[in-house]
Amino acid sequence: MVDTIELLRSVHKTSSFLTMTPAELTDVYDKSSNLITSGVAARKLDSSEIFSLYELHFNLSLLTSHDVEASAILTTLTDRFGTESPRVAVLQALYIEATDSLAKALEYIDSRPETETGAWKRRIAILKTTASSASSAVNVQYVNELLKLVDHVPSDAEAWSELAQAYIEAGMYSQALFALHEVLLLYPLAYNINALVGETTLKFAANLQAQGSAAPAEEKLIEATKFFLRAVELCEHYVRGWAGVLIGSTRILQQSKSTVDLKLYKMIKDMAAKQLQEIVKSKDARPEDLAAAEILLKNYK
Amino acid sequence: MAAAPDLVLDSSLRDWVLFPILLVMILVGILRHYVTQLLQTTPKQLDLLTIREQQALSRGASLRGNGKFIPQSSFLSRKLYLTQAFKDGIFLKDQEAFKNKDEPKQPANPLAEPGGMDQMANMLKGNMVMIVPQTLLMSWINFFFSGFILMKLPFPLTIRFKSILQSGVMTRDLDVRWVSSISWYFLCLFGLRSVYDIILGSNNSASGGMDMGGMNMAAGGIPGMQPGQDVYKLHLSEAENIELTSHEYLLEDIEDRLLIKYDMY
Repeated sequence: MVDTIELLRSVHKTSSFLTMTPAELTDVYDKSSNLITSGVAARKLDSSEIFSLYELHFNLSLLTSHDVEASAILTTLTDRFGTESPRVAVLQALYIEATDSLAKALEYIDSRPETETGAWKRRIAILKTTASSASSAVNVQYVNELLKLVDHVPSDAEAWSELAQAYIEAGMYSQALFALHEVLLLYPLAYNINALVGETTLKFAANLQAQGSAAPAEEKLIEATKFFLRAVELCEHYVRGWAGVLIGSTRILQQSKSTVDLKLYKMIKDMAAKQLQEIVKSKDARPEDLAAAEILLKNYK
Repeated sequence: MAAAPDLVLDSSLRDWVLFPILLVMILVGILRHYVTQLLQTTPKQLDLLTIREQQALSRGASLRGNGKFIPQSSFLSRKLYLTQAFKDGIFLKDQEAFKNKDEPKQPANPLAEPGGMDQMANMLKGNMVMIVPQTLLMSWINFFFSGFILMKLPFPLTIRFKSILQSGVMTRDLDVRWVSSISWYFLCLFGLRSVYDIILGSNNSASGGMDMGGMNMAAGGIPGMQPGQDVYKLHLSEAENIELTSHEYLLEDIEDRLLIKYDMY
């Protein structure tokens, strides 16, 4: 039981349920449902943690289409905290979004005071779902809303990384890098963000190369490799990071002029290849990562 | 005759004074818990521009603290932008007041700010919830039971405890083990916390101001900001702090670091 509580605590803290596969989701849903219905939660957790658990269970219920259960939890939370609580408002918006139309959810969010950043972010999220399919005007509106959000709340790493994603999709790499650096300033030890900075810089370099400016492209390649190296420094078995190191150093070796220390990058490339081989051999990663690593090792001999 | 007890307590003292005081104390504690909950106002939401004003400061702090994780060019452009922006006051809530600032502004009165007023009202409410029932209970016990001896402790104590256990009883030579009514009240007042914890769960407010939690909450609010402080001055000093920060790129020699770590040299 202690394990379950610990697991759910970390799922709630990291919001990792947002990226889970359906099978994992069902599993976590069963666990939290057990914990609540068996009454263990009421005995073992203090009141603030119970409500965190309810919040998590609400999200899990919505994602596993247990709408009735979600509605019951929402009622409990509303009874306890009232409708004016910003956190409950976000859940309410999510519930409307899941069971009714986006328009209704937007209507509800617009009725909230503008100081609630939670509701604001929901509005932006809804805008995003419409933006990806709609005209560029909506996309511009989406990015503008994000810009307004980070102007007011620059400590919101989520918003910065959303912004970065939008810029990457639009091919505006220097803007994307600015946003990602902002995330790094908030969470300097996030290895995945370091790797993402590396990837974006790689794309930027390719873009510059295509435009014919070789010298800045080379600079960017070196920078990208640095960030990938940083990612694997923080997390030793990070396949994405090592893959980035491999690709970055290979490109430097292919494109570079005499200004770069080629011997150094040869060593780095060998190191990345060796580490990837070791990971593949020990099968110390997710299957899809292992498959990607194998393909890379074949292509970047 | 030496074996005869020196004092015999009427059992109605136990039934009609000792237990009622205990019961009333517990009930008042529970009542206090719920009254405190009812009186609690939800902290007021700051308006967007105030949030922006404060968050700008934290952005400056994170640049100073974590600037070494981003490349030099990114760091320098942020440094230039933020110092200039702080000096120009573009993050300030009240742009009009900033632009028309000719005469030196006198420090704002903390009472004039709505936020400060709320805090004080909260503190006052907390204290009232504590003081009113205490006064009532004290005078109730003093009026009806003053000078009562309620029980005898089953263990001996030194003479020093006399003032704690026998307040309100004017006998100099009575054994310290006898506990007077007003002392029983004080023992309950300070000792019932764990009983409340069992009945109401932890984090209850039944024992009111006995813990320091209430004080901290009152002093809370915005970290690093006192009410009535000139925000522009804070922004200026942040600008100075950023200007003084130099950049040391942590990733400068990362290639060497990792090559050494993985023994590739």
